[in-house]
Amino acid sequence: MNGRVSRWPRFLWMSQLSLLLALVAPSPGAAGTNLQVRPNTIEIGTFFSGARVEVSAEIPTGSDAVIEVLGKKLEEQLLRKGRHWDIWMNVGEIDIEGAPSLYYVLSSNPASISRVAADSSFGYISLTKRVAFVGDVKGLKRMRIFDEFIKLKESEKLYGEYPGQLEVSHLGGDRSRVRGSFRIPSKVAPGAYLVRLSILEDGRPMATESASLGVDMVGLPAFLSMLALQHGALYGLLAVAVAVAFGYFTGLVFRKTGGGH
Amino acid sequence: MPWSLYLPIAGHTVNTVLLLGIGGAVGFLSGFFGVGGGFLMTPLLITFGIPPVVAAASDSNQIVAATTSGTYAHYRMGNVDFKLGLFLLIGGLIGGTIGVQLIKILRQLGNADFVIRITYVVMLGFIGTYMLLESIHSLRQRSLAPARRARPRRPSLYARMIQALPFQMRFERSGVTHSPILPLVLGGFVGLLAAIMGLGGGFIMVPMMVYLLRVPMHVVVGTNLFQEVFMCANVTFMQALANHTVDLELAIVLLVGSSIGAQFGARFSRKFEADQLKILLASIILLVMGKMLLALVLPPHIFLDFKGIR
Repeated sequence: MNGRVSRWPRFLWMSQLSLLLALVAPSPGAAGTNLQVRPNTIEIGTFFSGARVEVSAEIPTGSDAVIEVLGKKLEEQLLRKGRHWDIWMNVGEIDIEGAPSLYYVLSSNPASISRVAADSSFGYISLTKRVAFVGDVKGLKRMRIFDEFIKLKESEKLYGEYPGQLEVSHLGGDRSRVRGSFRIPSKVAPGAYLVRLSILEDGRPMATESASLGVDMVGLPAFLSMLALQHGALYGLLAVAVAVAFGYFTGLVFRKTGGGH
Repeated sequence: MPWSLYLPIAGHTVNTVLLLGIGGAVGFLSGFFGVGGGFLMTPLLITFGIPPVVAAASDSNQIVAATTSGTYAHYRMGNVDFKLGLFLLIGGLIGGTIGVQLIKILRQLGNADFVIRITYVVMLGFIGTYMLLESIHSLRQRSLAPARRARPRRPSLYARMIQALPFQMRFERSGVTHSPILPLVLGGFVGLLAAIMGLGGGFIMVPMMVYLLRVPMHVVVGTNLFQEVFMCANVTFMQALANHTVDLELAIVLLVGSSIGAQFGARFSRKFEADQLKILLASIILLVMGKMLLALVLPPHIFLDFKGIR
């Protein structure tokens, strides 16, 4: 099945993205980097229901800041709904290439995230330049597909634009601190995510800094996921055995407790 | 969030109390009507954000528990016809295998989605309407004068046809005599539809057994549960092996609720008459059909959807 198979590459690209981050960007806390991500690792355990992540950085006073959180670029397979004989159904498949699996953008200045300026470097509009649609797209305008894709991602809380959500506080001298937070949803896929700070002067990016945010599956979910993917037959037998045993046990318990027969 | 449970295969967090409630309610109906409840559970799980393929596969897993529990309860009440159940099961497994291959071909042709949805609406609509009308008619008949009811009638064409089939044998528990060809063919047909629709097929099997095999309602309930244990165990294993879509955590929480619910449902069903049970089941079937029909004819909120699990 497409979906299950596609989960494995996440583990592969996690290492690739980590390597990329190590090469092109200083790690959090390293000399010259002041972008802080807390926590910088999120663990998906049995009771995981999402996590709030705080980001902060020092910037020159008078500058604006934009922080983006990006997942790896994936090829998303989508089903297009259409009307056939007055019935709505999936009528075709559209592959979306180059869109990040997760995308949040926060800014200190609301104007930094534009929904209209075609040359904007941040926000959804910036993604339109990097995204390609392949497949059953005839008769559909590109922006219509893109808007529907954004709606779909937002409905899963995997995309979000937060203009003006970075708070700025003056530290003294020519330094200020920007601070903000975003919530990682429970639907997040395990892997490595890139947190990127852009410092803007007069609306133009002057410097960038990056840090990584890791999402790992641990404990029982990690064990069951491994068993399901690597030992399908054993997992299937276990699933059936657990169900039969529980059903039978319930029957016995109800017989022993009397019941109304 | 308190009571949150992360489901590793679904890749989604759900509220445990909510899941237990859904499992309990559907399990109750399962024991009450003698159906696996897949036609209710899977749409409910999808509504709460579980990917459809995981919802269907994990539902099959929990149905194994609910039907085991229900079969046990009905067995103690003497409601399981093992002989009839075995023929239905053999037919069901053959039909299911053909159905899986058929769906594979339809997927390649790109028509699977349409066929599945239309099959659902047509089957649910037909069975629900027929069951409702027949039960109401039957209740009305009971209020008529005994003399009118006792008037001898010529056997129907269908009755004469099934009596003409070879290898007639007695199914003691059900109190009927049929050729084994009949349950084999019916089981095969239900298995075929169940494979296309991704369900245990109880809601199709129950009316078939009532109307075409003429088995008493309480034996229908127990016998259908018996054959569904094996049908759903097979589906669970195949889904885990081939598609990795069974979420054991999800199934366990659901089966805790459904196994207990099924026990209460089985006991509660004894307080109702067969026609009352049929009217209730027909109403639920028609409600589900109505919801599915609306989803087919109303424009969707978003014109794109993710394919499979991501």
